[in-house]
Amino acid sequence: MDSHSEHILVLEDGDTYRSMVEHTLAQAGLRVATTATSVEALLLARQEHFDLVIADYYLPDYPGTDFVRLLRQTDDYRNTPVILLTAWADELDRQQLCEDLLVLVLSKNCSMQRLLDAVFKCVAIVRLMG
Amino acid sequence: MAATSPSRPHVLVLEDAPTYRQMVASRLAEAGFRVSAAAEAGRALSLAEHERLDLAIVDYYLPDYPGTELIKRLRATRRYRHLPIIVLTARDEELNLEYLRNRLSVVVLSKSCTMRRVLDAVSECLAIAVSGS
Repeated sequence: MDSHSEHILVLEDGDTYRSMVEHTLAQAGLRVATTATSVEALLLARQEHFDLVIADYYLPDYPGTDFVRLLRQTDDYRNTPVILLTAWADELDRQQLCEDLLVLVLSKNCSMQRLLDAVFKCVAIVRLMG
Repeated sequence: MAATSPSRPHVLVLEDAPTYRQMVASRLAEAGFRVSAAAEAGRALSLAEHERLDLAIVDYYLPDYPGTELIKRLRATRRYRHLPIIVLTARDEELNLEYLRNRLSVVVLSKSCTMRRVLDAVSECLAIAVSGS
């Protein structure tokens, strides 16, 4: 694995979907850390540097948007791309969430290829900014 | 509205937060409604099946899945196809309100609004339902 490849944090409480995303990203040559809880995700984010965060919207304790707000309060993650995944994408105001939190809302119904495309677009932006 | 009237409207309150659930339920009961409260969707569906509801107040963010999933299940039944439903949410700025109103025929209210506003919305929804039936 390329130690210089982008490092992605995946926050998803569903075991099967989390494994699927992890596998897809790892197969594409990206470094991946996964967690099922917001608390651990915030700890990981403090301990390591992540270039991109993928978070589920519908989490057991509170919405993924609350996690993103906490993440945005830290200097390291003020502008880090975040992809918010949800099975109820139509019920969210994507434009508002993009404007307020700089998140890209993606439906869980989309293919892993579509997710991967979005990840690489975000990674390209990170590289340009870096 | 007489609290002892057998014909008083039956309102379901589905809300996982105990304090807010009790507040809404008690204000509705004080206003003369018959109230059934549930903390999770399974219990709410069971109540809907065994009782005759006139209106439902549903929290959006529930522990297992959005309140909209329960609403879709209610709407799929003949009995509750046209049930007046109010979605209460602390996340109204994150939700696509137009989609929810158009696709699920619900009234969306912010949890930051007053209990008076909730009561007014309940009365308005019931009045519309009665006039439309």
